[in-house]
Amino acid sequence: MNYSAKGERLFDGTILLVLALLCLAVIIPFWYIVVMSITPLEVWTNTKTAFFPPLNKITFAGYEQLLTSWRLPRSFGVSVFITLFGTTLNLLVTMMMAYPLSLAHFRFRTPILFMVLFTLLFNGGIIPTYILVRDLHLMDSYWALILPGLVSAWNLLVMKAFFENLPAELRDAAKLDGASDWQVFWDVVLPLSKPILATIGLFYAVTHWNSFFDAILYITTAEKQPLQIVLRQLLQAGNMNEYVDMDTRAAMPLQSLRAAAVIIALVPMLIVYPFLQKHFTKGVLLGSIKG
Amino acid sequence: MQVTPRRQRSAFQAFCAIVLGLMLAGQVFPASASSGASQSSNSSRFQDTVSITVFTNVQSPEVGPPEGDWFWKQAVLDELNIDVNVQFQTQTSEYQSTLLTKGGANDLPDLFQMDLNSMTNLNGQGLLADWNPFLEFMPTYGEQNGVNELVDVGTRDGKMIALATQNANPFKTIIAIRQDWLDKLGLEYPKSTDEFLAVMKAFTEQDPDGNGQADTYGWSGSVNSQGQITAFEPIFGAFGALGEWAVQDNQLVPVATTEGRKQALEFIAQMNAAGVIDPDWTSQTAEDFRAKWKAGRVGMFAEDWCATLCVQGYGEFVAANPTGMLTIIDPPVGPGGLSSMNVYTNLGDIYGMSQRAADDGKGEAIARLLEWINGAGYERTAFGVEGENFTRNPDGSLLQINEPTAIQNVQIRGWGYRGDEAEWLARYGAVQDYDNGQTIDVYNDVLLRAAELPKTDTTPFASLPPVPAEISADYRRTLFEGEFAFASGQRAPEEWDAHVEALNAVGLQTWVDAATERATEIGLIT
Repeated sequence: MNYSAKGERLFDGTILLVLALLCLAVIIPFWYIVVMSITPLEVWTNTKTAFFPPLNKITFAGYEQLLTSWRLPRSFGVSVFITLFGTTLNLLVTMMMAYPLSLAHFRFRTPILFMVLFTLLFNGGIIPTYILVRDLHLMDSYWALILPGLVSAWNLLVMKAFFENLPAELRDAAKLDGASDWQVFWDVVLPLSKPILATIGLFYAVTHWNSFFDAILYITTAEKQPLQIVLRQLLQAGNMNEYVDMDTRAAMPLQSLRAAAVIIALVPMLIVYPFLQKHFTKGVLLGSIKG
Repeated sequence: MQVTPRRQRSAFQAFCAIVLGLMLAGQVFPASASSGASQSSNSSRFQDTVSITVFTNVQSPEVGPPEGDWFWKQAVLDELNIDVNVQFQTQTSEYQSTLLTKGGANDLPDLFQMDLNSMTNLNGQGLLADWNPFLEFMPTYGEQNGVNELVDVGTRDGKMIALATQNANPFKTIIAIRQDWLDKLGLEYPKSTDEFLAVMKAFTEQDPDGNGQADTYGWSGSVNSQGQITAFEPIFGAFGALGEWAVQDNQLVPVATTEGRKQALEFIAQMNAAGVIDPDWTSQTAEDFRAKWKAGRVGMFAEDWCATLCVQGYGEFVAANPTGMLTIIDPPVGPGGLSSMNVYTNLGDIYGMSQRAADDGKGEAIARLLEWINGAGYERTAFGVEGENFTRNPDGSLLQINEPTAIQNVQIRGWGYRGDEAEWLARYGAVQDYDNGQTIDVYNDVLLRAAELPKTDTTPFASLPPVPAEISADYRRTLFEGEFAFASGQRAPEEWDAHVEALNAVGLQTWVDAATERATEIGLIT
């Protein structure tokens, strides 16, 4: 008995140690970027490893510089808009398509599902998508970043599976009480679907937030470029002497400005994740189990 | 009111249809109308507006493209009656792939920049127009931008499918050395490769920064995203092994397989074994490498001179090393007496015109636009508006204003640059004082010094075909992995023949054959 308990403790301890190491592997680079973004040049170079910079030395000059320039705040706003608006549309259309497909008596269920599955397996590719966007006259429009990926086939199937798992008796009871299809959907199904909405919404939101190559292809106006484009430009710029003012340049190394830009891009997702985490886990599990 | 189930379903379907309809109705920016137009006989201004789409990289990615009411676009409209829709690619690394996507969709812009790979690809699809019929409308442009000298680069089967122009950028690579470390250790500037190695050793072992720690290195380098070793070009130059091609005994030879390349890699391996190279060089990026010398850990390094000695880079270096001082030195001279800092080509930007634009009768307008850029519109294209984008010195020379908004307005300036002294002075004419007591006149002390360094001219090879697309990935991987292994000492020099065989196995000979055919065609070899 004691031997078993000791073995279990050892097993638990090992698991905890491995998980702690994994946590550190995630936290240390993140902390490094945070510290780099607030550490002035002389501290960074003199202390060699400024992992814990002196509190009286830290500066937010890099953030101030980036956030008072016209470009980063503007692109941040564009990304927030695309993420919020795009995710709302994604969820609206995905759930309106997933719900009827989850109903066994829906007449066109099989052919529509076949079409959905087909797109999951065979992608049109970049050039046909480009031609489609161009011919719909969506070039240089925010719609070009939203419409082509309006419904993700994978997300649709996950949501459909979730709806299928809801007890049919609830819908039947609502119908008997005289509820319309819309009322069943809005007043019965949706309130029970918060976990899957949070999960799929997060999938869509992260996709929109990280939107990069489609913006490169379709967006040509500076004011419409999303954050990831500007962020990559900042990270890639060999010499930022045309972007930052002299005063900041004297105080902050180039790496600090880049690190600050990375943190600015990370913050919204970091804020959203903890609030959606419980729904996220539950939603993924529920959507993946049938029967 | 009683609602029947059928009506309930209809209402639900109608709602879905309205939502989708609203989304599809939200399209903006309809395609601009284009028109070929007649041109008045006595001026370069067209009677009817001609619409031209232009696709180009921005010159300064960090500040983004110009905003909507861009003065340059209006100037072209006012003076030429050409409505230019300039599409800027702000991700310079994605420019060519975006261009090829547009090509694949048969949606090439009317006028665009391209590299040799894209030129080959687009020409294969028959998407590039012949410039020859339109050269008469741009006589000054052709003369001042070296088009005649570089005509071979863009000519295929008698058609000039690309307008190759001369390089307007100054030669930019230097070797910088820590002058203060040299002085402290009582050393002279190194000249030969052996002297370089000796100074690197002293910088590594004799604590030149005096902090009592073994944290300095004689040299540093990096590996790029493709696995290619970088920042060792002067070493390759000392062994005559820079660039892609060499002509030996009237034969075109890939430099990667030459004895010189092998010897240079042996020398780098020797540096590595002596412990004089920053040990992180095998894994660090160019940014890590840059951070190392700015932090004062590296005694000598090969770099872009502006990244090193313009105000941003040098300001950071001096802030971290208040008594530090960097000086430019000549590249090392190898055992055979050869010395070269890096490659340099006189080939600059390459411009393409889409066949569709030519078919739509826009060729003349495109040619006249380029002529305008080179003539009446030169100052506005290259420098912008006086007072906003540049200032004029009492002697009439210009000085570019390096403010974000000012730079943003001249993102097309590369199209106008000619590469003359006045331009370089305007861009690099600033003189800066630093806290270490140094004053740097970038143009005179840095740019002209870099210009006089020995370099390897690869212009004669500019019109040879690039690595064929079908072998490119395998060839580059085999080449870069092999060279990395030799330089880092993971492979012994005795394995060189096997390395060359591996390159041949992935199709090197295919490329050599194509390049030899082209070299014979243009008279590079007989």
